[in-house]
Formats: sequence, C-alpha cells, structure tokens
Amino acid sequence: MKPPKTDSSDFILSVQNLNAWYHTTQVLQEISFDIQRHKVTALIGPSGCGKSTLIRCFNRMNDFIATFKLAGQILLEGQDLYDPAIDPVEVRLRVGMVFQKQNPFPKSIYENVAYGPRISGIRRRHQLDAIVEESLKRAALWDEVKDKLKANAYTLSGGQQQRLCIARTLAVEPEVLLLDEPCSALDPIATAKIEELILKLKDDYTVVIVTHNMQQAARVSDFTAFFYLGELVEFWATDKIFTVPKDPQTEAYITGKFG
Amino acid sequence: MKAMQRYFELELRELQQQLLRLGGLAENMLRKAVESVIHRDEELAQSVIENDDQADAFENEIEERCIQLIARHQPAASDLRLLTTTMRINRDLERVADKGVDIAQRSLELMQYPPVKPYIELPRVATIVQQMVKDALDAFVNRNAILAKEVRERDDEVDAIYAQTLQELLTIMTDQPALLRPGISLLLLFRHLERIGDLAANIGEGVYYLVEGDVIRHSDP
Repeated sequence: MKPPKTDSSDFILSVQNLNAWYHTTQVLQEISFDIQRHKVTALIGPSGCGKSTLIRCFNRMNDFIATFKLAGQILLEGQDLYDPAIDPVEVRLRVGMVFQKQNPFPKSIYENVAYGPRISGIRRRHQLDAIVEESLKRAALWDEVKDKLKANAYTLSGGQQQRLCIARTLAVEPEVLLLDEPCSALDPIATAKIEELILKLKDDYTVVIVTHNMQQAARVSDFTAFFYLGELVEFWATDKIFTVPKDPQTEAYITGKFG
Repeated sequence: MKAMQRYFELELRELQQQLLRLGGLAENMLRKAVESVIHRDEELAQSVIENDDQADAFENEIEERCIQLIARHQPAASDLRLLTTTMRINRDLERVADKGVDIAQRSLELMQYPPVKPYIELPRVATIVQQMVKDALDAFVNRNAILAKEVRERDDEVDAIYAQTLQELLTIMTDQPALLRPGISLLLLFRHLERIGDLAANIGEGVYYLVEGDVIRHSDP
C-alpha cells in the first residue's frame, strides 16, 4: 500500500459520504470532509455525536466490533482504507492512535517504544536504540527518561505515560496520528505539555484529535469539525469556528447554550 | 437542541445595561454641551464638565467587568464578539463624553466674546452626530447591522461640513484678526464634533462585527 507518487494534494485523508451503524443504529450520517496534511484537525461535539466512532474508522479500529457496519469511503492518500485488498495492520501502522487512558505495556520504557519496530522486523540493537531515542525526543519525553530507559513504564507519571504512548506510536513512523481525548485523564500541566507536543508534531505528521475540551480544540487545532447526532454540522478553520461560526448549532454548542 | 439558561447570559445582559448607561450619559453630555454653546449657558457647560468623572468611572467599571467575564468564562463565538465589541464601544463612548467636555470648555471660551458668526452649521452638524451616536447605540441594542453600517456612511457628511466650515473660519480670521481667539475656539468646537462623528462610526463598525462577524474597519463605506 504505497501512496501514489503523483499525489500533490494538500489533503491526506478524505472522508466521502461515510455512514456507519452499530446493529441497526446509525451513528454516522453522510459525513464528507477532507483532512489537510501537516495540520491539526479537532473533532468536537457532545457525547454520542459520533466523533470517536469516526476517528476509529480512520485506522479501522471498529473492525473489531462485530455489529459495526460502514458505507462510503475514507481515502488515505487517495486509497480506500476499506478496500478488501488493504491489510488493516498496515493501515494501523500508517495511521497511529493514542487513547484517552494511557495504556503503556507492562514493560520497560525502552521496550514500549522498541516494540513496534521490533515486530516489523528491526532487530539490530543500535538501530532500535536510535529509533527509541528519536521517538522519545519527538514525544518530548527523552530528557525525562534517558537515564532510566530500563525502568518499568508504570513508574512514570500519567502525563509521561501518555507521552510514552505517543512515542510508541511515532516509533513505527505513521503519517497520521489520531488522538482520542488524549488529555482527559491528565492534570493541567501534563495537558499543557501534550498540547505543546501536538503543535510540534504537526511539522512531521498530520494530527486528528477528538476532544471534549473546547478550549483545547481552540488552542491546538487548525481546523475544527463539529458533530451532532451523527452528522457533521460544520467544518471550518478553527479561527473562524470559535469567533464567527456559521451554524446556529455550532454557536450554541461552543458557547455552552446547549442542554 | 434544547436551549439552556445560562448564568453567563444574565451577566452579559447586565453588562450591556451598564454600557447603555454610559451611552446615555455621553449622549446627554453632548446634548447639553451643544445647547450651552447655542444659548451661551455657563451653568449648563459647567454641568457637562462635572459629569466627566462619572463617565470615567463607568468606563473603568465596564472594562473591568469585561476582563473578568473573559477570564472566568473563556467566551467563544457571539459571546466573545459581544465582549470584545463592548470593550471597544466602551472606550469610544467614554471618548464621546470627553469630547462633550471639550465642547463645554470651548463653550465657556466662546462666551467671553461676541458671536463670530451666526450658528447655522453648528446645530446642523450637532444634530447629525447626535443622531449618529443614538443610532449606533440603537444598532447595538437591536443587533442591527444595516443601521450600524449606515451610521458609518453618514460620517462623510460630517467631514464635508467640517471641511467647509474650516475654510469659512479661516477666511473670517484672516480678514478680521480680532476674531482670532473666538475663531480658534469655534474651529476646535467643530473639530470636536467631527471627532464624535468618527467615534460614532467606530461604534457602528463594532456593532457590524458583533452581528455579522466581518471586520469593516479601514474599508471603504
């Protein structure tokens, strides 16, 4: 699954007429929008609006749910992620995901990061060392852990564990990084560090973040998509959404006039 | 989507009431200042000067309240536009009040001398700028973008009268040097009124942004 070389488009992901169901309940309705390369796109909306379902479609996490059904297309660099010829494992390497609750493996800090590259065939120690160092640096964690790489990941604080999970995802060199409420279990200082990190990461990756924290979306994202009851209500530059939203539903949600 | 009653809403409503109180005071100061010129009423001019502290106090209260509301609520969208616009209108209204004081001071100066010329343009331009301030505030209350933009367009008329009066006064002062002092006071008075037109136009631009979300400042009417 190699990206077409001729593709010079600004968009890395394209969602086209996406519909999704659990059993017979439709959770996403006719979603269409494009995600720009090297930008941060925030997905916001009240609980149950479909934003987490959508972000999970981006790396085929919903494949594990037996009752999940999908219609429409999600194109990564022009290729349909749900094409039967596509290997979902490869999709998950190209589109990495970090979850709400930090979930490091019960292993050393080093092994957490080396795990992905190792299973994709990298065995040489110096090569793994370099990947671990680079990934931890990119996740802004290296300085805090470089002297205790053999320590168990569980000895780290919550915020450090979350950055370790980001480093683990970066180690396999994804193109897109999906963050599903990555700060909701963290204190404000750890949150600020993750937000700083997100702003740095967009130089090398495309970031899609689901967040309940509207100020967070306003702080870190370039584009914001507002979902309500499974529909994409408004998708626009974050600067515009938070000052002059077009749709009254978006306005009501971001000003808190919503119950 | 169900609407939720927000405590913040009440606070915003109170803030707007406060801004309108400052607006009312500034309008009143302007009206009294102009009347004091026309009727050569010293007492009225003094009362305008005395109102200045009140206007300053209102401005400070409103500004502080806006900052507190921004800090506590981190407003977005129309709430954010309301607060930033309120801060701007607040400043402009306080300046209208200041200009009222300036006019009252010119009024006191002019009373020392016989009239330089009959007041023909004065009531005309005063009526226009007073109406501009009133309409700008009405546009704010009623979220009327059309009226807000229209206020700004009227500023051209004020500028034209000012330019014409300036020319006329220069001629008078050149011909009759004895009229230099009252002439300068009168010229400044027109200048103050012209500035009030600008301030009303600014308020109109602020209201337009509040309603439409488009910045029209520094663009051609």
